[in-house]
Amino acid sequence: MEENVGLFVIDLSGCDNTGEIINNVSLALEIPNASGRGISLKLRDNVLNQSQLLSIKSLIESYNSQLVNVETTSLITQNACESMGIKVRQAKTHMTQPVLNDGKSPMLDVDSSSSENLKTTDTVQPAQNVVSEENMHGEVVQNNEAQKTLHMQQESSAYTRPAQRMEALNKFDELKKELPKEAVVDSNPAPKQTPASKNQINETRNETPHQSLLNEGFDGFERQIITVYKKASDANLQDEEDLEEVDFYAPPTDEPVVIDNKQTIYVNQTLRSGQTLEFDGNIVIIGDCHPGSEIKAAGDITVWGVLGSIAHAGSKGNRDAKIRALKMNAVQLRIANCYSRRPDGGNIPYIVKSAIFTPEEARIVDDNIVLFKMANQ
Amino acid sequence: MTGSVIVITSGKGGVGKTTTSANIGTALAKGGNKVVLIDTDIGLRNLDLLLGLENRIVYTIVDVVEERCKLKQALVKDKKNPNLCLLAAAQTRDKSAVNSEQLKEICETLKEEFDYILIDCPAGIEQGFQNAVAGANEAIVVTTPEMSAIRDADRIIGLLEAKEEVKKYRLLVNRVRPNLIKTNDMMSVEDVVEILSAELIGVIPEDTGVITSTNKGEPIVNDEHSLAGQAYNNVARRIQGEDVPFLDIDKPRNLVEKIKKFFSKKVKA
Repeated sequence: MEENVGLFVIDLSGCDNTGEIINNVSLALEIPNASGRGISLKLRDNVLNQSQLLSIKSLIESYNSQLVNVETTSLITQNACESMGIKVRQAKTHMTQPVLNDGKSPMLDVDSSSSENLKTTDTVQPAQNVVSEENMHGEVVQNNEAQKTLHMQQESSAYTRPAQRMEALNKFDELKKELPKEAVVDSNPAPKQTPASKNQINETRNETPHQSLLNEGFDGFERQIITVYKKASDANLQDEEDLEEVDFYAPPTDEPVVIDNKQTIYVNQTLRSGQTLEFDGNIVIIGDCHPGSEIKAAGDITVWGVLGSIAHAGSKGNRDAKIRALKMNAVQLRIANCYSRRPDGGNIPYIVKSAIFTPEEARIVDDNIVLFKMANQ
Repeated sequence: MTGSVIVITSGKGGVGKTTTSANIGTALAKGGNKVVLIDTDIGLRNLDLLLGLENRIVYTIVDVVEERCKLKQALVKDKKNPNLCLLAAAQTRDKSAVNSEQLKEICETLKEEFDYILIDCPAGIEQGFQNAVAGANEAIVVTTPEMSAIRDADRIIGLLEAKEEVKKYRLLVNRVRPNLIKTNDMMSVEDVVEILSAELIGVIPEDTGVITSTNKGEPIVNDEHSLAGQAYNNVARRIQGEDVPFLDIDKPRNLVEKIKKFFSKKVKA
């Protein structure tokens, strides 16, 4: 197991399907230690084909990490890995059980010095995130049935030396109350929030434990604030030729728009026709977005599936926002006040699902929305 | 200029209101008229798909009503025919987002610029229907030769007669299958007209081409060889006041059909 030194190991042996694997990988990558490191996947008997592996690889790369090796017992997965140039390790039987739980449900092992404390006897509870120690340097993270909010809850409760983090815990309850308000999947969207209530939510949101954890837990990870100016729009849009350059519901303003790019919600469902998802931060959708639905985010939009709907990133005017999808079939893409539509030839209402995914990213280049293949990055 | 506002309605769902709207609209525009199609099926819009304009919709009728944009901005021009415009429905809202008065106002405004305003009505007789009918002064009732569709059409005609603004209503019998009528398995068009006692504006034969044209986002009137397309073209001409004889939908169209028909006659004789 020497080759695992320094690697971040994600144990996926408890997963039954690809969706779960992807979900767990993305959750594990959220852990600060994972970014910028070599990743090792423990897949056991899960069968993954080349395109699925490619998707996982690109997900890992989007966190600035690298997929170094894969541990698997499946021949199909082995072959797929070999054809992609990923190292394969044979599964070791004695590692099949996730190693431990110290009873206090350790989850995030922020500094590795404390990881010794975690090295106790087993009793693995299902549906709980477990960190195990491997070789003093690599952590095994197993996410069983990780639920997005619960994940955060455990994240908070995992801290055993808090003092200052107790505060964060208390605030988590506030977050739970606020969460449904800020992330609503609504088929009949309520009328616009009044400015007052919006401010209120904003205040709470800035104080959320997630935020404070981010600020405290990451060394040198400063709050990133992007300041952008909205393009002043032409007040007279009488000319029909100009119709395509209208800005979307965002009234022109001279004030700088401050965007806090940190808040991210995970939506683990398929977005169906007529549903709208609106959020004042980044959105990650694990599932498909069907035509007729709408996603609107102040930050980035990432769709782990087929994006076939209207997506509006940077809805508050952030021109650096990006839209990513495993398969881009969006009816319209909007970033800040730029707009682009799908070519007429490809007017297929519901795309034929296939196993081949070509992850693409849309961003603004000189006032045009340009798609980039993510595999090349 | 005062255009006429025609609502296309049926009561029952799935009889072909949206297909009829798209095709009559396209046929009228091809004849040189300025036409606007209004989709009032908020929350279940489909007219944009049939016209292949889904990717061009930025603003919808709800945005117009809620004054987020001007009416002119929300009109989506057709790809081929600049005479044809679409005012799309919002997909993420429901019927209550618009009321009758607002739709009436939109129709009044559009009347000044367009020759024909066709309103695609949602199924049912609730708010959506009331909205769609509000601004109309003519109606086309679409039905199929089935008892359920006829009963619903009868109800609709009753409601239309109660509206003062709707001066005229005419019947369009859709999805007619001549072979079934011959074997007495389907009601004939004459029976339908007799039951409903309404003026007939057109008879559209069942045509598999309608399904492919719907999927392609290209109205079938653009296909000159299609029988259904010809029938829709005739309906459009009748709307403009021409006197067009009804199409012989039982006419054999190719050699195989001609031979079949020849032999079936021999057998009967």
